[in-house]
Amino acid sequence: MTEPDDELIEKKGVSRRNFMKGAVAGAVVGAVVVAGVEEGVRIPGLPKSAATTVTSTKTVTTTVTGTGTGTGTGTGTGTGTGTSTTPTGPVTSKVVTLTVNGNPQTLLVQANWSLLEVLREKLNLFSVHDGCSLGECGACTIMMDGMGINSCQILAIEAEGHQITTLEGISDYGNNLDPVQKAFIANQAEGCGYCTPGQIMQARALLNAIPKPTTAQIRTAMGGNLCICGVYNRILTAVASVGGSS
Amino acid sequence: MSTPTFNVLSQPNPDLLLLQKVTGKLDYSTDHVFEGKLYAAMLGSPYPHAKITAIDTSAAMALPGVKAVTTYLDCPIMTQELFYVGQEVCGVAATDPHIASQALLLVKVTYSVLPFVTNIDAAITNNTLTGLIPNTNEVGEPLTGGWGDVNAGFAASDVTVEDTIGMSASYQHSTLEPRSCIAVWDNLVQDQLTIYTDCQNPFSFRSTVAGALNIPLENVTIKTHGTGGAFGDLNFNTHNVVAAVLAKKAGAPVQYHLSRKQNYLSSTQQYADRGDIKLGAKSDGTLMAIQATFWTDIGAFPWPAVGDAISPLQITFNVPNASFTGHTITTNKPQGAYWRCVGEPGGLFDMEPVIEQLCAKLNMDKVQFLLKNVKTMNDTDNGSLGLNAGQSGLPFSSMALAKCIQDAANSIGWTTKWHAPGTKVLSDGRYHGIGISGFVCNKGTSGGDIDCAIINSTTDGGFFLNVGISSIQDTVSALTYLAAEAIGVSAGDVRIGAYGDTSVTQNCGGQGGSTRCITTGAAVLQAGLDVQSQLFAVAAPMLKTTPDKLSAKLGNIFVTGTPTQSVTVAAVLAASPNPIVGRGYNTYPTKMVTRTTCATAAEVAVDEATGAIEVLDMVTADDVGTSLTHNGTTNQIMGGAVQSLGYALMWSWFVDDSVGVPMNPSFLGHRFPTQNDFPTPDNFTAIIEESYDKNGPLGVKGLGEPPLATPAAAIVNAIYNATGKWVRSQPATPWAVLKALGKSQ
Repeated sequence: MTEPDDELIEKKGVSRRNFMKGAVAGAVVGAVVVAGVEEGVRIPGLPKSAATTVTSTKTVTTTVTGTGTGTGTGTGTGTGTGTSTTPTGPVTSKVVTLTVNGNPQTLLVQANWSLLEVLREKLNLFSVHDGCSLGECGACTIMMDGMGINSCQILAIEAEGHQITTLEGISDYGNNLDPVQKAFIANQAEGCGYCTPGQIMQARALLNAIPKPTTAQIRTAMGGNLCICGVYNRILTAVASVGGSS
Repeated sequence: MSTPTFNVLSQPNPDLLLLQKVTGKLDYSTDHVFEGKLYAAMLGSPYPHAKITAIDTSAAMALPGVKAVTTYLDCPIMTQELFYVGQEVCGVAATDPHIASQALLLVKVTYSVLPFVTNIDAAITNNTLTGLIPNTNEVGEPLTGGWGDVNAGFAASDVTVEDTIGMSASYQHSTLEPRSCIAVWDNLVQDQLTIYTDCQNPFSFRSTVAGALNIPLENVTIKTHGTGGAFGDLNFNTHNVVAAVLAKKAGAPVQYHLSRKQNYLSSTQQYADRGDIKLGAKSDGTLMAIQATFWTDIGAFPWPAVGDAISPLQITFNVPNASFTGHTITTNKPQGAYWRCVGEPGGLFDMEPVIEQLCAKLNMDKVQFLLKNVKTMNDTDNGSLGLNAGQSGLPFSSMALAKCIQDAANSIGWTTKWHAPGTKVLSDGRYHGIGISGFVCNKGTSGGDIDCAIINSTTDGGFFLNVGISSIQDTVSALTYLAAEAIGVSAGDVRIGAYGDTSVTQNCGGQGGSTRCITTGAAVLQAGLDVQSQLFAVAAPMLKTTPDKLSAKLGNIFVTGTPTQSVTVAAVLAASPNPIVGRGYNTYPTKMVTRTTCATAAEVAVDEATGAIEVLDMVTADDVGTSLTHNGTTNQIMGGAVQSLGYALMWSWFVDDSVGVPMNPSFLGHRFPTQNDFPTPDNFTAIIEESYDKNGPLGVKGLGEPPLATPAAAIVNAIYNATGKWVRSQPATPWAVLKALGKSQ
């Protein structure tokens, strides 16, 4: 995950920090007690009425991996004070212009929809896969301003003003394959194919930032993209071959 | 044994869906657009055991955007009594996924909380019942079997060892695509339902849905192309039924994409095993007796699973005396079902430490011990208690375990690298260890299903293969290559036709038990030969001969022995008065037993200060019979090693037995190996052994499961070799390693 420009986002009236707070509170609930409130799974011992309120002040550490100039990991801490209650009035929607794969598109989006949800459900860009919606698996990795991000971890309305690129965008919708795609084909760097679009986008973002990454840099950068079929060595070899480091 | 020369098979043979996968164009379950589609969300049980005494969904239904609600009162897969945390209580369909989730908070449920038990020892010894089986927690009668006289066997042994290592890990499949589907009822025709779903068993899904909804089988169509991992969990499709019920009630298509948390809790799990094992051997290493009692914790899904855990110990060795008992115990935990290789990874975890201890007492090299005692082609099968029971005494159709063990050992440099436990320290101060594991697997034989394949000619001189299976990894491609070999054409001449669609293909078994390339493969082989005989009938007059004098190879039909007297398949198709359609059904001989075999050798470094383990090098040698696609075979072996590494070191459920709640339903909590956890390409080797199986179509046998079982056991053995201590709780996390070293409580 890379940090978008918070200042810019706050000018637009939507703070990524606020969004993260909500996510953090949810995570705390999930980790500390039972199963998440967002699932509607209630916590034993708490009132079973509709108005279940959960508050937590636990500190959560999030690891942030970036592929900007140089690859690196940073850590950030946040204090989550979150409330999970019954529905609180109507969710607002907003007309936004999203620049996706070079095409500005103006559309009405719900303020609480992630970019992942809008890319899939509104724009039908089905290469963007929903593995967890928690920022844990990398299946929904896209590029925002050239950097790899989990599209489930940003609201669609926060993406306005940024260049959004999906797998469809790097290959002219499959008509002109990116070298990374060619390398994935040459190495059969896939099993079931579900993580593949995210792997390719993360690799493209890495190679944009570091054209000839070392093995260690590839492993670090690709470390957030799970492949449950387990073809990691094929992926590593494919990415290295594009960078010319193997 | 002489092995036929292949023209297409036993080559790299890339996945024919590669282009679709790297462009994101392969359609998975929810990659379909429907006007007015609704989104489902599911309320799961907060309690490990409870009964719903009242449920009021009126407030949820009144939330703007909510279109349908379903509970045990009208959903066939839901029950009033709940047996594990996360079990389905109430499904909602709404115009927006977030509204659906919000509506769940408005569902008022009153539960009568019942006693529960999530720990297997407590489930065996105390009186708390899981509620799954009347008056007991054990599934059926204990499984028993054996041969010879174990007491006499131990009396005749020079050395005996006896140990119980502990419970193996229980974990969820963690398919990257959670269970998901879209259910669409036809508005024009009564009770016609189409479900787009992730799936490893389309025809079984169809039966499940039709049965649950009580509508005719042919009213249900299952469509499945891409499936984002299955590993056993996608044999089950409660999610399809939920979506279908909601779609019917709402009068609109419903997309049900389980949240990661709900997928962890309400999908199936790998179950855990424990084995109390006693072994006896002569001083020369000859195994004389095996006595074992296994316990399987099956969670909230009562079926007699324990046979698979016993299997490695039962069918790997020649031993004159053996006695086995198996118990399957229910607990109020997520449902235990089939994870890749089912009970055998746990069975190996249980048995390997005891074998290692026997080798230590015998002062015998593990590799030499294995080579002295494992099954060879000269032996017969011991039979199984679980799957494929009743094969005792039959010869093998192929058996290459000894070769797998030798090749894995040679590749890693066993003879120079093995040392006494706890005696080698690396230059960086970490302990070095090496381990090996090999076994005979009861997977990878015929599934016994009725499979059908249809091959039809195209107008451009090629063929389409149409089979009923879904696409997980490269199975459809592998069968397409098999079809090309069978017909006698080049790989590119056969393309993937219809697959994963119950309305246009014939019956096919599921992708489980590593059976598909054998069972569906047998049907594809027969269909290919059917095509070939029809081609020969047209070609014979063209070549002024009779069909029985003809052969086909790489797209040319020629007079056998006179390759110059030939005609191309394309020309024969052009000359054929009718399109050519080949049909095949699976036939499978039963006079020999098909067993797959696999061995892994692993080297580890153990940091005594932190307990951290690094896998330095790993080699897996897997006998797959004829390898249909070397690329796919390699990826299966590699993927097995990745998953097994996670099984050995990081991947497990952690359940709080005081409240009966699984604590880690997420990718981060249920940690799966990443790119950083697995050895780099220089340090992992997949060796494809091709023994040519006499039962299988063109020598094929199963592939998917055995390479999952051995890496974890090899790693655990290597940790012992490094430290001289057994890690008695799985996974071998740094904490568990420190505990084994006596450095932590």
